[in-house]
Amino acid sequence: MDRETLWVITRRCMFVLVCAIVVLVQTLPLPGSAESWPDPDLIVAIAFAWTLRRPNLLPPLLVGAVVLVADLIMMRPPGLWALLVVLGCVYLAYRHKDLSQVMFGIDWAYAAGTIVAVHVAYYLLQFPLFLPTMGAVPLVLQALFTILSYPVVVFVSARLFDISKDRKIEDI
Amino acid sequence: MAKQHGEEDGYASALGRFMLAVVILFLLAFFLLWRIDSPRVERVRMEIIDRVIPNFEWATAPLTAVTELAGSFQSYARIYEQNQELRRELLKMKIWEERARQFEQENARLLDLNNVRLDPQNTFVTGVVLADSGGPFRQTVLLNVGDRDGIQDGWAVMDGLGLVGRISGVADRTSRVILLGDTASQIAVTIAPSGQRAMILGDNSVLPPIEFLEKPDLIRAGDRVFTSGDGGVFPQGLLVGQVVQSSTGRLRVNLAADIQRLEFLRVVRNTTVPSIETPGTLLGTRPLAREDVDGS
Repeated sequence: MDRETLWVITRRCMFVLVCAIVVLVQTLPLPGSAESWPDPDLIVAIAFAWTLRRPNLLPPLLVGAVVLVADLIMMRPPGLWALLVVLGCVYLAYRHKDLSQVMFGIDWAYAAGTIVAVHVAYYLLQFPLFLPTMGAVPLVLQALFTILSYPVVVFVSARLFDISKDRKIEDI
Repeated sequence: MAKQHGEEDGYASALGRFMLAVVILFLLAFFLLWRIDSPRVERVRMEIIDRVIPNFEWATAPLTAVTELAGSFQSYARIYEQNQELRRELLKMKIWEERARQFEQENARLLDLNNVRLDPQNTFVTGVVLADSGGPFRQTVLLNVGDRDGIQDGWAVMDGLGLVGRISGVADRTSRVILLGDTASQIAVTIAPSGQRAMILGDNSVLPPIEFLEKPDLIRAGDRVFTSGDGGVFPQGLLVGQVVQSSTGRLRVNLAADIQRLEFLRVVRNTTVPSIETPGTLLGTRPLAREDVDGS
């Protein structure tokens, strides 16, 4: 096993680990969590940030499986959110070539647009699919908080997990 | 070369595209299956949660403890105020205690006169909250009691004081409680003293609205809300809360249970409702037990 494979595998394990921690912390029965502001969907932010930096790092199978388990534990309709997140990742992976040299602002704008698109699609799909509808306000807030958390996720990913755009494989 | 290795399962290669199609189709199929046959998939969901969540109690318990500790440190700052507040409340409580004792004696005398036998079947199973649904979209919690403790779907759940919700989804070690505020929660209630019947429909807020009232004029803020037992799901007369009126004039329930801080919950064993299996048992007479039939 060469270094690159090892690097990729450890990053995938870290993705699963971080997502597990995020889900467990969010479902902690803390006082006052019944009517509070929605948390940012950090799993989406991480998946999008990593895909924009290294499109081959997170295969759709991994993203789909992780978000599906999160769907199941967090009592969302299982599969729908996972499907939308996977599609968002696919879009960003195809955009990766255009975005590999741009400033962070444009990168952020693309991620934000995809996050908004995923949330809007989820909101609109509630009606034809007869899902238990939720108000638009918490979803808008969740999209907003996710977009705001994106730069933090990118910074932490670069520092802690060594995931950035200009990383040369020869350097490690 | 090293770079090529990463490409193998990416989006660009033929295998990558095939995997992508498989993943998308699987997620779509799973969602449609849930949409079509929800109870079955919800059972699968409960089984998965049952496998996962109790195993992380060692991790979540200290985390919860730490955050609660932080909360109580904040409250140390105003400990004097709290002390005064508690003293005042204690005084009030003493008055109530005296009244309660008088009522208790009166009640005991009256019961004795009427020779009433209270229903002994409403017993409790107490459980600890393991997890909630992680956000304001659904209002459910997970309890650490399940099938092996005899929990059944539909039983009422209370904290020490009032109704919290009902069991919906039971696995071996855990069960899911749908809180009164969840959009999937609808319960039948009576409002004292006017005795009107109504429904409480959850709308993802802490104060669920009262709907289907015949004469809203007879309701005053502060009226007490109890379960009516209509529909046979809940026992009758569990305290739900008090009526409050919002600024728009809408009637809502201020729940007696402390819904923001759920820790220990009581599941009310409800075995009084006869199970209706054949049309002949509609009147509530139990069909003969199998042994009786075999023995005769």
